Amino acid sequence: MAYSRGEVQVTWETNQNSYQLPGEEVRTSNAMTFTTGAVGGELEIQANNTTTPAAGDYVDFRILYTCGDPGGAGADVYDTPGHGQILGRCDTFVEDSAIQTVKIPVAAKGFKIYVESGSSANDIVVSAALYELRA
Amino acid sequence: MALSRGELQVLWSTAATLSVTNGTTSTSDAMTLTTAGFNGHLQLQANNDGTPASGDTIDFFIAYTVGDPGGSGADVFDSTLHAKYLGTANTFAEDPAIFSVPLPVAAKAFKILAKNNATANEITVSAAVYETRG
Repeated sequence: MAYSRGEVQVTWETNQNSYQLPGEEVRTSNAMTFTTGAVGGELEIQANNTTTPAAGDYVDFRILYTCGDPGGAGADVYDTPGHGQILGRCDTFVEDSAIQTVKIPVAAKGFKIYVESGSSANDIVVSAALYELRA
Repeated sequence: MALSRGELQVLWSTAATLSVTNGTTSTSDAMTLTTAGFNGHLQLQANNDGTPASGDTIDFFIAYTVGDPGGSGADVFDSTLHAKYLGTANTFAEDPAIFSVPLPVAAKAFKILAKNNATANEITVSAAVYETRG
């Protein structure tokens, strides 16, 4: 069996690679689908402050998976934000850019990334990418 | 080897959902994992049938079977108090409340247990597994 590797860019809004998140706001990425042959994955998340970082200028990242349609309604259902898995916090006051990578399970059907800004004023640009090991 | 993926709907008395009475625990039908499944993810959902109140939560557990440890001839599932805790869906915090967990898929089959901790409201539960198959 030959393995391969490849990147899946997480997109926001109209297929943008990043999103400028206003202070105190939340946003959900577009729905992303895991590659059929994916057997392992690492997700990299990034936050760039658009101005001079202040204390509290962080972004909390969560992942919202879907396994299809548990209730049988016919459409993919995603984890709700309050019950989504926490990936980590990127604190731009500590480092700007703030970037980290986390190992994620890839057996679900797809996912969305949910971001929540802790900043009271500053916009923070967020982005994410998945790197898959494929069989 | 070409891999594939697919959904396995968890059934409750052959239905996709079940309304669990407050203060009780309900158990799904026995679900057999796909022969070629080697990686899995389980998603669990809870919808309050009324207006959510504090404490309106569902604790989810999984009871596996690997066949018949005692040799009696029938599949034996993990007992209720020894089933593996998966998480709690809090419908007072979010309604519906939906979460997912990575699922080991090497066992023969499983059942999902849903414990309704509400004092008054019924809560409708559902679950699905997404498998990677070799």
